[in-house]
Amino acid sequence: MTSQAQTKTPPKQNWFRRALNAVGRFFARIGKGIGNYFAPVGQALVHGDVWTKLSFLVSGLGYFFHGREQEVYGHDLVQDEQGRTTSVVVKSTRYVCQWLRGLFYLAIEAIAAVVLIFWGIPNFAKLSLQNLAVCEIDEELFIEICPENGPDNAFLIVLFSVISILVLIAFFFLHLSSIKGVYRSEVDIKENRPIKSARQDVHDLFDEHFYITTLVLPVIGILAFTLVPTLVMILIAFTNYGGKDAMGQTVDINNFTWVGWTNWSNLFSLGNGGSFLVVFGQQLLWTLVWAFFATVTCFFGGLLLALLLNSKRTRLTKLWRTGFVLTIAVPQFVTLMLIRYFLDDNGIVNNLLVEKWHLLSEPIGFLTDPLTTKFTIILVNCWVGFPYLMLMISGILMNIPSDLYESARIDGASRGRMFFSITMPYILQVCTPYLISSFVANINNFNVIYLLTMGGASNNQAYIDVNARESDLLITWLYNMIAGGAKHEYYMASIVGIIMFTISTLFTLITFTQTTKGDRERRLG
Amino acid sequence: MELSRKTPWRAIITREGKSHAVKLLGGASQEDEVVAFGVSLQKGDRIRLVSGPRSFGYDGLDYDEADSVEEENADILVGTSGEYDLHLSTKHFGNERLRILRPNEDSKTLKATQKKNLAKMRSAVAKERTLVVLHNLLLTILVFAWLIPVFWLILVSFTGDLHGPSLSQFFPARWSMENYIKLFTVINDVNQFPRWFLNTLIVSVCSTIVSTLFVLATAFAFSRFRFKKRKGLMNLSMIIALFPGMLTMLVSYYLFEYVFKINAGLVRLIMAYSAGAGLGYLVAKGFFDTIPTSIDEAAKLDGASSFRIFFQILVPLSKPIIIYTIITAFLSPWVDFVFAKIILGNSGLPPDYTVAMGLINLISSGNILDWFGAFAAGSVIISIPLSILFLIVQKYYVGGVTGGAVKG
Repeated sequence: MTSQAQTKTPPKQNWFRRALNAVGRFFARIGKGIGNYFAPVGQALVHGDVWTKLSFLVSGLGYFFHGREQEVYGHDLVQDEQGRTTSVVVKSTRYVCQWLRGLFYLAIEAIAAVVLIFWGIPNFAKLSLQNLAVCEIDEELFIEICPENGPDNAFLIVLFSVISILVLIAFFFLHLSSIKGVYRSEVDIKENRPIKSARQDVHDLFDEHFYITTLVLPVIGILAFTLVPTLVMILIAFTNYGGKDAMGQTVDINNFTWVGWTNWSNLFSLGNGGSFLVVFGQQLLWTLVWAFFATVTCFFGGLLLALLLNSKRTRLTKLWRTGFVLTIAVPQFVTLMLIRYFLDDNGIVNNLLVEKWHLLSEPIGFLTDPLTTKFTIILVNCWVGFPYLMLMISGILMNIPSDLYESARIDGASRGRMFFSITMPYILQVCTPYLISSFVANINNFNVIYLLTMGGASNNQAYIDVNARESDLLITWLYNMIAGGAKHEYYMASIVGIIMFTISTLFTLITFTQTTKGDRERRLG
Repeated sequence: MELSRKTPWRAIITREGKSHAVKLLGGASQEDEVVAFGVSLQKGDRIRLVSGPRSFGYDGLDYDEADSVEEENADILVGTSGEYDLHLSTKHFGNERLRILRPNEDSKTLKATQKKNLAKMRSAVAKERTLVVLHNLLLTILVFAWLIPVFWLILVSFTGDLHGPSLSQFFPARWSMENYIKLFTVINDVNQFPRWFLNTLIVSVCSTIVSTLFVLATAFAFSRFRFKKRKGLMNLSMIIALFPGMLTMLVSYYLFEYVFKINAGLVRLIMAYSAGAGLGYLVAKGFFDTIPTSIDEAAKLDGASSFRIFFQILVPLSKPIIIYTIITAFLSPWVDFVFAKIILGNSGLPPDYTVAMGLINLISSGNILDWFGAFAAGSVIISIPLSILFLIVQKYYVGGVTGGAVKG
C-alpha cells in the first residue's frame, strides 16, 4: 500500500528521497516475497487439521492421512470375442492418498536427522576450533600420547560442519514445501477437488516434472563436489591452515584455528615482510598481461592461419589442416614437455646457436631468465593456440552469408573493403563472447606455464619466501602452495583462489550481459 | 556447378528448321534454358556469356575468381549470318545471360586487341601460378614448424641408448625399438604402462557415460522447462564453476577419504571427473534451444511424455552436440595429470595411475635418466588413437567450441 502511495506522489522529491524510495521498494519486494513464501506455512499452522499440524514435526506425515474417494483412470487387459487381449482405459472409484510423497519427505527427514546426529552435532561442538584433542609427545618416555578417539582433524571438522549445514538448509526448505503440500491436499479434499495419486506423481516425474528427475543427480553431484569444496576453501581463508600462529610457530596441519581477517590484513600490508603483497601484485599483473596477450595473439594468429588455409590458392587444404589439428590432438603434457627440453639452456636450439653456428657466445635462457621466459611462454602458447582458433574461425568463415558479399560487389566494394566491412565485423561479433571467456580461461591456464617451467626456481628472495617464481601465474602459484612446493600454505592458496574467483566472475558477468542480448532462448507456453 | 575457366563452355550451332540454334553447354547440368528465339546474328558477331554474381560461401575469401563476370576468352564467333535460337545450358544462378557483341572496328584492330588480351591473360596466369606456389610453400613451412615437436617425439621414441633427454641433437644416433620394448616388458614400481592404459580407458569410458548423461539431462531441463528458481540455478551454476578447480579437487580428496570412504582409485577418478559435469551444460543447452519447440508440442499432442520426447526426438536430433560432449569427456582423463594426482593423494600408487600421471612420473627427477625414452614411446602410443579420434570428429569439436554461435 505504502509503495503505491509513494509512486503516485508527483516527482517533486529530490534524488535522495527517490533513492530512499527505491531502496524501500526493493526491501518491500523482498519482504513481500518472503511473506508470500511463508504465508501458507502460517495458514497451515493456524487452520490445518491435526495431521497437518503434526506434519510440522514429522515431515510429510499428513500425506499418509489425507485421502479421498475419487475417480481414477487405469488400464485393464480385456479379452474380446476372438480371444485377443487388448488394453482398455477403465474408470473406477478408489481411495487415493499421496503416500509416496509422504514416504519421500519422511526419508528426507530421516537422512537429515542421521546427518545431524552423526556429522552435525559432534562437529558443531568443535567448530570453534579451540582446544582440539591432539597427540602430545611425552618428552621423558619419547612416545606419542593420543586421545582415546584419535586426534581431532580441524579440516574434517570444518568439512563435516559445512556438509551438515547444507543438508540442514536443504531439509528446511523441503520440509516447508512438504508442509505447504500437506495443507494444500487438505484444502483440496475439503473443497472436493481431486488430488494426485501416487501413480500420477510417478507419471509426472517422467512428464510434467521430468526436469526434477533429470536434475536431481547432476545437482547432487555439483553440490557435493563443487559447492561444498568451494565453501570449505573459502572458509579456509579465515584460518591459519598451513600457516604460522601468533607466536611464529608452524601450525600443526590438523590443528589449525580461526584467525578472522588477520590473514588478509597480514598479507596485504607492507609492514609484515611484505613479500606476499609485492609478489601478489606482480603475479596479478603478469596474469592479466598474459591472459590479454595469449588471447589476442591466438585470435589474430588463428585468423591469419584460417585465411591462409581457406584461400582459393591453397592446394591440399585437408592435408595442411590435418597437420595443424595433429598438434591439438597430441596431449599437451607430452608436446610442451618436449618443447621445454628443446628450449633448455643445453637444448637443441641453444646447441645450434652456440656450438654449431657460433651465432652466440652464451645460450639464451629461454626458460631460465625471468623476462625471456615470459616471452617464450607467450610464443609457445601461440604454437598451442593458433590451430584451435584456426579451426574455429574457419567454421565461422564458412557461415558468413554470401548475399552480404554479393550486394557489396554490386555496390562496387573492393576486396579490402569487403574484408574490413563484412568479414571482420562478422567474425568479431561471433567471437566476442568466446574471446572474453577465453580470457577467463587463460587466467586459469595451468598447463602451458606449469609444463614449461616445471622444476625451475626463482633467485629473488621475495618470491622464494612465498613459494613463487617470476613466470608463475596465480594458478600455478596456487598449485605450488597446495601441492608443488615443500610448504603447503593452504590459507594463502585460499585467499589467492578467492581473488581469482572474483576476477573471473567479473569478466564472466561481462560476457553474460553480452551474450544475453542475442539470446535465442524462447518463452515456452 | 559454375562456369569458370576450369569448366569451359562450348556452343553447338545447329539448324533447326529455318533458324540456327546456338546451344551453349557448360557444367554438368543437361537442362536447356532457352534464352531467346529467332535472334538475327551477323557474321563476325560474338556471343558472350555474362554470369551474374555467384554465390560462394566457403571459398568466399578470394574474390578474384568470383569477380569474373564475363568470360571473354570463351566468346563464340558467329560464322554464318541468319536467325538463331539461343539456348543457355547450365545450372544457372539466376543472373546469367548471353550478350551479343557486334564489332564495328575493322578486323585488323580486332586481331591486335585479341593478341594484346591474350598476352595480358598469359602474364596474369603466370603471376597467379607463382602466387599459388609461394602461398603453398608458406603453408608447408608453417605446418612443418608446427609439427616439429611431434616429429621430435617420434624420433626420440626410436632412439637407442638414451640416458635422459638427449638434448643436443634432433635425429637419433642409433635407431632402435628398445624404448617400446622396455615400456611393455620392464614392469616394476615405476613403469606399469599397460595397466595405466587400461585404467585410463576404464576411467574415461565410465566417466564419459556418466558425464554425457548429466550434461544432456541438465541441458534438457534448462532448455525445455520453465520452473521456479530456474534462472537462479543457472546463474549460480555459472558462477560456482569459476572457483579454481584445483582447490575444489583438494577438498574432493578429503571427501573421498573421510566422507565417502572410497579407496578404489579408479572409482575416485570416475566420480571426480563426472560428478560436476552438469556444470558444463551451457553448450548443449544452446544447441537444444535452436531445435524448434513446435516439434515437442506436436509430439506432446500425440501423447508423448517428456521422457519420450527427450530420448526419441531431442537426442537423435542432437548428434553433433552429443559427439562434442562425448569427445571432451573422453579426452580429459587422458590429458589430465594435476587433478588425478590431487584426487589420489599420497595413497595413489603406480597401479592406480592414469596414463598422464604415470608418464609424467616417468620423467620426474628420480626416473628421467632411465625412463625418458620409454616416456616418448608411451606418448607416441597414446597419441595415435587420440589423434585418429580427434581427426574423425574434429568438425563436431569445432561446432561445440563455438557453441552453435556460428549460426548467428
